[in-house]
Amino acid sequence: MTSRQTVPVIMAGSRPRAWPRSTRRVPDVGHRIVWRTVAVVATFALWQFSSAVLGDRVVPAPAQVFRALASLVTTAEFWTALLTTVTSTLLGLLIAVALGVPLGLVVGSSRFLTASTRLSADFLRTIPPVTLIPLALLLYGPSIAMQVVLIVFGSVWPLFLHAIYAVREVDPIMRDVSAVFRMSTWSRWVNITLPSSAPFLLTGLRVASTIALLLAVAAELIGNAPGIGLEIALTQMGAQVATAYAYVVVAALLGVVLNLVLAAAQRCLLFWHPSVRSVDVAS
Amino acid sequence: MSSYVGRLTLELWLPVVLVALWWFASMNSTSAFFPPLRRIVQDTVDVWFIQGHISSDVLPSLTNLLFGYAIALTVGVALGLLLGLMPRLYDALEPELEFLRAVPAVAILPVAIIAIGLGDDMRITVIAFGSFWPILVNTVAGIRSTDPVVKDVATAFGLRPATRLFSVRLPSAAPQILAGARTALSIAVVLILVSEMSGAFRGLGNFVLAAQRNFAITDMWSGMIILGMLGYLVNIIFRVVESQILRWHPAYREGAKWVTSQ
Amino acid sequence: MGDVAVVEASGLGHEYSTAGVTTRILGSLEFIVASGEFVCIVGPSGVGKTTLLRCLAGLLRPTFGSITVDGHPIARGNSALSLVFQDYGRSLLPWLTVLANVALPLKGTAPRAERRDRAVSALHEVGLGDVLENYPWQLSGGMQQRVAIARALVVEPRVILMDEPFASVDAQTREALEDLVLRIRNHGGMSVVLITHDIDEAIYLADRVIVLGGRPAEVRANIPIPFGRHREQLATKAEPEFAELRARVHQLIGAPDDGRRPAADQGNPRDEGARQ
Repeated sequence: MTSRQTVPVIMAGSRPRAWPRSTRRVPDVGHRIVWRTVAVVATFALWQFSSAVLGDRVVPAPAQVFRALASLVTTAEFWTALLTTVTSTLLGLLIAVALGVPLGLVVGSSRFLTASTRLSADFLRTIPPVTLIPLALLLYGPSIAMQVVLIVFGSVWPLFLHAIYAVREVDPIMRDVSAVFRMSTWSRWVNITLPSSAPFLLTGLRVASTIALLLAVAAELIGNAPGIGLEIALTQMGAQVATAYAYVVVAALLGVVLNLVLAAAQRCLLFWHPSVRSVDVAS
Repeated sequence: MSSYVGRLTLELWLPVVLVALWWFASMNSTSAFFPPLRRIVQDTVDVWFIQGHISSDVLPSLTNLLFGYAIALTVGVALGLLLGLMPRLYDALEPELEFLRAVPAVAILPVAIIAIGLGDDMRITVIAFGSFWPILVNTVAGIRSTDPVVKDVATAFGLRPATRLFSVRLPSAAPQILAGARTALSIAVVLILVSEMSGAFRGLGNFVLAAQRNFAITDMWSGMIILGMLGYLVNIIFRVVESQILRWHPAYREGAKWVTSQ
Repeated sequence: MGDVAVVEASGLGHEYSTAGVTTRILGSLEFIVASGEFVCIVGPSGVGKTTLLRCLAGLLRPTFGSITVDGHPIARGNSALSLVFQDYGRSLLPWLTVLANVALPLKGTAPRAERRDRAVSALHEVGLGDVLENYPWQLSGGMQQRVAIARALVVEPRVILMDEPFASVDAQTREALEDLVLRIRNHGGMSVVLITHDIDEAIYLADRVIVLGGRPAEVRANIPIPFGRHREQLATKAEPEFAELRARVHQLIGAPDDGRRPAADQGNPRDEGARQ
């Protein structure tokens, strides 16, 4: 992620310009619905076609997958597995936030700490998190604890690094403002540092959440921790292709929901940020 | 000069202290899980360099990684360019793309094993699939966010379409494409390891997991150390390539800021 | 215009050292600002005006000499002083409403209801009574600078410092803001120290213009401006004396008299200062 934030450019003698929005021409709603429907139909046609060509041992037909999905959602195992995966993902993410964000904010506000931790953090974050699966298995066995340790280790780095960056990017003018108006340390953190760090922290959280879900599934798949990943692994053993595909669809939906929730949180919390805010009202 | 030494000291003291701490704390360790670091280091040299597991386990992993990643990069950038230049098409396909992108890539592993089997083809496919999405999405976004002024320049000087594509659009999207490529690379590394952990007879991932299952704990640690170093190495190589490609970019002209490149 | 000195700078000097090289920015400045007085400080780009202002605001500790406000040495964040930053777009907090921005300096000093009342009346003072619940970024540049002025007013300072406050607004807005600041001073009786490149602006606004020049900077001249308290954009600037003063200041600064506004100076001094 390039998380460099651009400071809004104020042109001499003009109102602050609205943030340069993506230059896409949004087709009108009617057209969009038509074309998106066409795309969905085409996708399913392609899927059906590849199933016919490659055989349903490789690519089961859409109908088969949806039938498998429909029978899955009636079973208790499915819901337990889903709930377990969601719980461990969120738990891991929560711990990662609780560790990474405060540490990053503290480290980022000191030049000494930033320089001192640079190499260690840089090394630790490049270790592929799944490397820890054997160690975590050894210590905790195939359990949620093992999974959470893995998720925390993998997703803490983007949070930590974004927090460091966020603190360092607080506009020096803001610091002057807090000095000139004699704001207390508390008030400075609440009114200036945290809000201006929020865009970076939320970006970090989005990166972290993708990693967390990936690792949750990986820990289940390899480490046999309970959850969707384990169910997928079991379908592989039983060679139930359609059910395996159905689980992949479920895992993807989980990812989509996670993304949507975080995107909504971003829009809501960063209403003031140039990338989100609506057009100027008064003039 | 002295300030350079000062900076180096500042950056190195913590890693040195941490390794020393590990070394001395584990020196007399009798725990089966945490063998002395000295033994791990000896074992690392022994297993990987003397017994030659570097060539029997690391090389195949790296080759598969490279193939899968190269496919993802080529196809991802090419399709990303296409979709970036055809906003209507992208808009129509957006829901499908967002859905496929959200698949936690390890989830397709069992499917790939059923469909393709346990060979290297399967691994390369899984890596290519998983690392394709961040590259595609970032390329599209990069192409679409070309500064309108830059586009106007290209039009005003009547540049030929090929020139416009390769000298204007692609370079201006490069920072974002590389950001995607970086995410893709870490996903690719995770995928190669996970794919080796679930049903392979060689490769780094298989080595560490097998070591753990056989309670060859020192071997497991040595494998983890090799993995950590490889991860770091791959990252450094990426960073060098990136800074070469983005020489013109302000973030690199100022002197790279390490956190920026996350 | 009172005669009591509010701000007193004596032997004020400042130097930076970067990579072992020490550069003296401010020589040894002596000046006072009287109670209720409007002082404009002008000088060529890079002369150290912003450094001086940062010293006055307590954001930068001068290397030599002293500054006192009402006889007390300046402390970081002195309640007798307040500051209007040059860059309104960056000095207002985008996540707070206009009202909350203005009330912010009062946090911890007054109960909530009082904070609100004082902020509202400061905003009325600058003519922004009707956008209290808007966000700064929903306003035009000129309006944002008014918010910044209201924020400076709300602490009821003895001295308001302004760092090129109108450098990035258009000519019409600029004149309106100049008159607003004059009106606020006449009404509130505080002293104003305003830093600008613009000689016309300095002469139009000030009771006294201090010209800085040289390297390190010294006070080149202390020019009283005899137009009284009530000024008018067209009439005042049309006075023959206005032209004379303008020529004189131009000569002192050494700027070519072509009517051009010098480019905004955002040189190193401020950046350097921010790092200290």
